[in-house]
Amino acid sequence: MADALPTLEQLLALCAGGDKRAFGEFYQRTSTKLFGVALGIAKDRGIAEDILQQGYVRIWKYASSFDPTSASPIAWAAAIVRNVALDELRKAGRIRPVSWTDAEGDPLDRIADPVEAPAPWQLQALRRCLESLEPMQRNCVLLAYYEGYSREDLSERFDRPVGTIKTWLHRGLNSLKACLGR
Amino acid sequence: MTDEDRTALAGEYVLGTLSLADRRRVEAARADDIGLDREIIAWEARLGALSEQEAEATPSPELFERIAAAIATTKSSGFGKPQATARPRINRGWAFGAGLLVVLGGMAGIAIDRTLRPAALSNSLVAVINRDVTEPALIVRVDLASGTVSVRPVATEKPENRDFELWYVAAKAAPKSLGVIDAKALTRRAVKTEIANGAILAISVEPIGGSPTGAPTGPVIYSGKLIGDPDR
Repeated sequence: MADALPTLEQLLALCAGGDKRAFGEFYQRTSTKLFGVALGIAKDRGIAEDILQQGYVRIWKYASSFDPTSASPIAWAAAIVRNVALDELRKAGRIRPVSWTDAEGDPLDRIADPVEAPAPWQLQALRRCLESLEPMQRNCVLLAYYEGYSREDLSERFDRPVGTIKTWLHRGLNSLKACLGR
Repeated sequence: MTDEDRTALAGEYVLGTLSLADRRRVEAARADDIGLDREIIAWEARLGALSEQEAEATPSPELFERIAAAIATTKSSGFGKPQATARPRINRGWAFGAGLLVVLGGMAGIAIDRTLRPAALSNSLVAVINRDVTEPALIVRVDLASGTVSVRPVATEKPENRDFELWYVAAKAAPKSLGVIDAKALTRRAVKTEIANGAILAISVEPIGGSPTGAPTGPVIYSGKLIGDPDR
């Protein structure tokens, strides 16, 4: 029965109390999504698994600091995994081979239309607000989020000075916040 | 730093466009700059919907064994200082949560500030229970003469299907339950526990009806210290 299944929020609360079975269930229910997040940035399964391991250890350690009023459990956990992934990516000092081309399509298409359920309102609002940005600002935001592009990577990708990229990001992020209104 | 600069810096931190050195600078800065910290948390929430749309991929089946082995030697709930987590511990309530778990583990007492002047003439103790350093969440008043405690919520946010339970935590003692409290309306009840000036009150998130074990089982989300009420 679906009702009997604990929510991710409840599982995190149990993890905070040291419940390893709850942690195992949290892993079962989130690992494919979080592995997707790690793999998106790392591009290598082995590296992505190391990132995921570090990420889940942090999730376990800091479960008590999860605040259900500021983010969903998956958004909170994804932020932790992304932080590990970004640190590893920057530490490796890897200059990303900038292979993304226009032929690969608009990065906005990465925000898939949900097949089964209606999109949560947060996603609908985010998508609408991203669409309202200048195209270059939007591309920078999405390539950074999904692919882990740095300012320098974006500069190379779009053949613009780093200062210009910084300005695009500055304006894009402020417009996005204003559009989302929270 | 202007608000716009702060928004952009926090946004770039969450997006991940900063260099490693700049990431470390932002993490150091957010510990002192509550506005920056809040903006980072806000960006994680704003952009989190993008991660929910990320294509799924299955890690190798052995990975969970490695993680289980790693957490076997790691305590849950924020011992030590987090590094580059989604949220650094700048919040007294959460810091106390970690302290409370130390008490529960029987490993050490929490340090209670004993330098507080005793309010010998006060017949009433009051605690402002905070969500963070600036925003009071509840105000608790203990009337020592009548032995009653009243809890007035100011700005609480309670998860659905959970109850708030109030705990009295004296130095080097296990927390004592003062009962489940109403998150929206004034709760007043008699207390049998001896209440001391300078002790800590904490609120944890528990299953409906309160902790099944008699000790806090959920996260401590609010806490504050009882002091003599200067108005009484």
